[in-house]
Amino acid sequence: MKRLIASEFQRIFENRTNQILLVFYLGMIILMCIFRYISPQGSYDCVDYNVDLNRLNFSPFTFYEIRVELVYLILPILFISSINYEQSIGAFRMYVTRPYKKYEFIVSKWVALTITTFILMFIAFIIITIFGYLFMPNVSSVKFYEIQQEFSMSGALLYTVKFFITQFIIALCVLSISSIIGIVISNPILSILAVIAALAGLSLYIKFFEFLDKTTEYGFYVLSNTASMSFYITLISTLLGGLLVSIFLWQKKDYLY
Amino acid sequence: MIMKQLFISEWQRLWNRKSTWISFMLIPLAIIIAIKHYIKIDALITPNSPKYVSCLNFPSVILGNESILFFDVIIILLIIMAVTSEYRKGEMRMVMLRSFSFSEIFKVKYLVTLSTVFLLLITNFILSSFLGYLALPKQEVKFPYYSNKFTINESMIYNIKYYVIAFLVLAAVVSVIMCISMMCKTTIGTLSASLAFILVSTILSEIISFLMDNTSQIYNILYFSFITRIQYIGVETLLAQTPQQVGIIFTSIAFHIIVFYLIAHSLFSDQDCYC
Repeated sequence: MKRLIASEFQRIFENRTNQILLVFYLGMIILMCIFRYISPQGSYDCVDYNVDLNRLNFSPFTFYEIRVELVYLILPILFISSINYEQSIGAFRMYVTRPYKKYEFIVSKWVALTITTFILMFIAFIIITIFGYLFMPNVSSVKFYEIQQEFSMSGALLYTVKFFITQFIIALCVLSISSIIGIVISNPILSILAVIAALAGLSLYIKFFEFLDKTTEYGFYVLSNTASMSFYITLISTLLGGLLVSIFLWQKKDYLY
Repeated sequence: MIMKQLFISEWQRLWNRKSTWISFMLIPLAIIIAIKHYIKIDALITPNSPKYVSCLNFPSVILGNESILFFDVIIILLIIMAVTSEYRKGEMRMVMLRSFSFSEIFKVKYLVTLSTVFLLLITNFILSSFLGYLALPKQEVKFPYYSNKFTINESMIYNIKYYVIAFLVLAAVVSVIMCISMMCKTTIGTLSASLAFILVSTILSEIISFLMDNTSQIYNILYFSFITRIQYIGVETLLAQTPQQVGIIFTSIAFHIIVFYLIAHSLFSDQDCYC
């Protein structure tokens, strides 16, 4: 199982499309940092830009600009190219013949993709934080969404880390949605478009899945303890349901082609 | 005469694909969703508001709001299926065996995609006029950048003009996506590059409009050099009571169509197709 995960990981990072996407992601992060450096205003609810940015609260607000590319472009392509595209071009045949249980393939894919998502979040966190500390105005303490207490430098850093962890867990919902769709629809192009359409449709038309679009907003809600119970229930059931349903579908699916 | 046979064969292959049919089936669905959305909005505002949607301006409003997402994605899908996927799977070899030059094959692929987009637009126009007439209120409304209200005839002419210009813009999108699909060899690479193109041009134009002075000429040139920006706002400014930035917008559209067509054409003719 460990070697299966390692091989999965290698294939993700040696894929040329993924490498170009990674470069694109780095470029977008730096562009958005510069954009927020020129106009230093942030917003909690994505409507009123009323928060002045400084070096301590720079990263949560700048991540808002990057989440569109991450949730709607990079993550669906990354996930589908691992789950679905390999089967359609036949690379999957190379390792499906090895003596592993059938569910181990999908579980290893999930583990490798989770680690990759974590790495992407970590890169964003590191770059934005360093940019903020280098270029933004210096302050000693800062306030965050609906929390009375003032955060010092270490407290603000801890808040930011927790914020990025919530973003990471919300990003895993994209993984569970795209793994179900990727197993059901066999054409990779159609399944990427279906994932993007499903994300947009769910977040626009179903109230419970609003957090898929407003990721940063829900990050602030969680950290100030104002997130509703239905958010946590939807989040956990999406993650667990996605994993279980995709294992079930993967074992049912016939790969004798 | 020979080109005609090639055109028919390309046309048949396009309509044999499930994805083409799916994208046609999605049009009525999108219209019904939009009608539901606009009925909700109309309940909150009066007919004098410029955001009010009745059956008169519904065809142009729905195209302006959905053309970026919906038609661009359909164009990407059509081109990937017609060019990259055929190239990867080797189906293109069957066509190349015949006595056609690469440039003829490319022209036919371009024409077939354009004519499918044309059909899609006509379907969208007819269906949205019909369904909008059935479901939405039949009141005279203001059109964007107009001071007076429109009668049925005027609004019909406005909508037809809107669709013609939107077709020109979509032709520019077809050129750009063709060019991208010639550069990227894999289907998933083409898809990600084209989606990234649309996303980045939307975001960059937003940033430019946010940061720069809105009155300068350089701003207008930069702003309308993004094809997605023309889809969102450019068509309305062209059809306004006093049309503005006509030269810039038409130059931008023509530049996109011609330059990217020529790049894609030369790439297709040069590339090694003996795979």
